[in-house]
Amino acid sequence: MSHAPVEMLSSYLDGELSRERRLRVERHLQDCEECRHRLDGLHRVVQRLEGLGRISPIPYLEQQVLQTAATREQEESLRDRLERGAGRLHIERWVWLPTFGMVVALVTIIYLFSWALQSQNQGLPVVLDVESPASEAPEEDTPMAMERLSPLAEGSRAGSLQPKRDDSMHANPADAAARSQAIEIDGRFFELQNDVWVEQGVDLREPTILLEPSEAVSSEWRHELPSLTELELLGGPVRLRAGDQLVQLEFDRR
Amino acid sequence: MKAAVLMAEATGDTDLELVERHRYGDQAAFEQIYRLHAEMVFNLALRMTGDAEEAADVSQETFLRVHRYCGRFRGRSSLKTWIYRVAVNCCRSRFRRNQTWRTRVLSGSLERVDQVPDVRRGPEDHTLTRESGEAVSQALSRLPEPFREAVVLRDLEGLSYEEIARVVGIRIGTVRSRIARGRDRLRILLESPES
Repeated sequence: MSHAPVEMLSSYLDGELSRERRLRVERHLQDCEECRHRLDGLHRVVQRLEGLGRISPIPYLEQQVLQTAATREQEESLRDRLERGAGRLHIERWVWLPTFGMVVALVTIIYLFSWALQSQNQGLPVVLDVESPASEAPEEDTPMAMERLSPLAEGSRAGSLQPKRDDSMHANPADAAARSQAIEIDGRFFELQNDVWVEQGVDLREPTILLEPSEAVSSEWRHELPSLTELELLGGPVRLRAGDQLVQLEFDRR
Repeated sequence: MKAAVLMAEATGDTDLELVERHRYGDQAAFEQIYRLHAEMVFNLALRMTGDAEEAADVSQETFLRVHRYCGRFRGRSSLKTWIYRVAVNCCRSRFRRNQTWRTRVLSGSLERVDQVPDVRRGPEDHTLTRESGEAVSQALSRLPEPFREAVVLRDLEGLSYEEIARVVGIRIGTVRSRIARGRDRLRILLESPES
């Protein structure tokens, strides 16, 4: 005699079977002692689990959670204000820099004309000579002089001519903040790591199954994936857990 | 805890209203969300980790995520289901970061947890409950994580198969199978603890 599958016995306990299946299980149980024994065992397990009861959270937890949440909120609000301020400064710089340049140019022209007029009045010759800087450069700036420089001096000079870019100084703080923020989709959290959106807790080194979005729709993991539309909006590949597997969805970068 | 439930009932706040109040900076709204769901998150974390301090850490992480992201709660499921989902994901992340849980659970840290008395039971029940609870908790800690998740959500948290499917992000058929296999393994472990 074949036995009832454990899924059926467990669902029978939970009242999760259709009437027809329930009657079939009951008929089988009348004749099969082994399944009756198994069902009793499952029933005892459920009773013992329910008997574990509820436990109140550790008393200090509430205060700790509320305080930490309030502190983080203050930090986030301060960061938002700073980012908004930085954004405003950024826009103003584009507005004010050309304006400031035009004002400086205008003042210089007015000054030169007033000086020329003044010189004419005093009978002095006016020379407005706009020579290239190279013609007035000291000897050390000529190619011949450069060749005479020691490697060390040359290095330091090259350094002075082309200052090394310090990326850390130029990094956009808003980008850095954005990178540090996890994005939540259907209760799961994703962070950008090396141009891949990685679900929190997933190690980039773990072996991964690559999936095109169209394959994901028909895959067996479809129901274990959060909203594909929202994942696609992240822009770029997304690596996440699907059941016991690690998959990478190959969305195109926007 | 009951006060928060009564308060929510008294004010008639729905999940979305609570979330909306929180979004507009009403600190009391988050406190209410915490008080309504703290016990459920703590117990889930406790049964998943088997350690009261770990459970407290998981609870804190869960509520900090809820605090930060609940503005994105759209009301497609209940707030309770959404918070369960966040808590389950926190447990999973923490479990993968800290593979020593299993070792610690097996080494008996559950004892301390199950000695915390449940005030809803009579004093005469406590000795029996403690002994039985210890064995069940130990057996639970030996289940593979997906089975433990399903069994805890069903038999300890009382979620329906459909709710579990939404929380864990799997099909109902898989829920059915994980619950059944989890219970069956527990049955074997409890009937012959050496296995």
